[in-house]
Amino acid sequence: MHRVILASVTDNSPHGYNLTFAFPMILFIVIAGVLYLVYSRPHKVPGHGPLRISSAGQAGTLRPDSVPEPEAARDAAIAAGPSIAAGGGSTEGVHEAAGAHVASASTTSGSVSEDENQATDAEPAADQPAAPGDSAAGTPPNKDEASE
Amino acid sequence: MAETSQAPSLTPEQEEAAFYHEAALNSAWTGARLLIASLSFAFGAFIFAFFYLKSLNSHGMWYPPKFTGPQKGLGTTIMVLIVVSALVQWAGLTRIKAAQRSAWMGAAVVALVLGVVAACLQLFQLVDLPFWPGASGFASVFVGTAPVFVVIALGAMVYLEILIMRCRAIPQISFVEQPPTFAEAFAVQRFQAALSGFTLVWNYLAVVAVVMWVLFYLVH
Repeated sequence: MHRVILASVTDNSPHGYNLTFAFPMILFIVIAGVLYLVYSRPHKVPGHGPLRISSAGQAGTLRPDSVPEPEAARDAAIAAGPSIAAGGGSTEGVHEAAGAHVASASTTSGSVSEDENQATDAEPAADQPAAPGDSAAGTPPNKDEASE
Repeated sequence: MAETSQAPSLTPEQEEAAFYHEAALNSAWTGARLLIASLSFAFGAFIFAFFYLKSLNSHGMWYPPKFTGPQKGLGTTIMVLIVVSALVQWAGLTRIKAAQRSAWMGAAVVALVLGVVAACLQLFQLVDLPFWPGASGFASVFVGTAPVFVVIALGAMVYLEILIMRCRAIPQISFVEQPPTFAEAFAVQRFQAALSGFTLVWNYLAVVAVVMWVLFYLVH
């Protein structure tokens, strides 16, 4: 009876269990090996390369104490993408529109996004020149809009 | 350290900002490659199912003689659209490296449209299949693989659209010469890192589309 049952099975069982063992093994080994090679060798991360030197003379060297215009800061915040700063992106960052820091500092909710109107109202503050030694001078403060 | 670190006498806040900026660049690079590894495991599961069921061929039900497979013309069109989309975007990337921002924008929009059309065609094919999911072993694998692929492809297109909107916010001049402030310089560099990661992943998905096409329309 047992032989009859076995004889009636048309499945290619050996191929099945060989594949079950070999395929995941090989897949894991190949992917792990490739990742090891990729991460362990010297590599160049895009974005690190120097930008072209300006023909205008002044550009080409960053000026740490300069603050972008509010419009430029807002565009930079959009272009920079999500913030990865500690605090889930609600802390200060360099990509935020100038003036948002003032608004977010006065929030009671702790959520900058809830106070977007305040941030907008406070934007004229960005036009105020930063005092020498002001820690936020070269780092326009953050608001959640930059993460979008 | 980022190129911006060469600026003299940074305050602690500026140094911290540069640190997080550096982390963002590296995470884009690392994350894109980890994503590809993760996707390889995901698609590997379907490829395993394909070869396992094909090899087992239980009761001859892998691909029965009278079984009608998915529409070959539609499948070929989907694969070609995705490959062309990846090629166009890659060509645009070479242009933006040559400081031609508008050239990449145009190429990216074309790539976006091609990718979305491919995804729509894939959805159309799925609702118009000439077989039921349980009709055969092949049918079950196809019905499992195609939706997963189309969701991932649509996700990639959403990210491409985000990149296009981010690029719109960057002035053309920022791709030519060093922006004068940290915020603008960081924005350009982070965009470059994100675009590089996206290109890698989208090219990978194009290769996956070709492999799937070979399996489902040629090998079966």
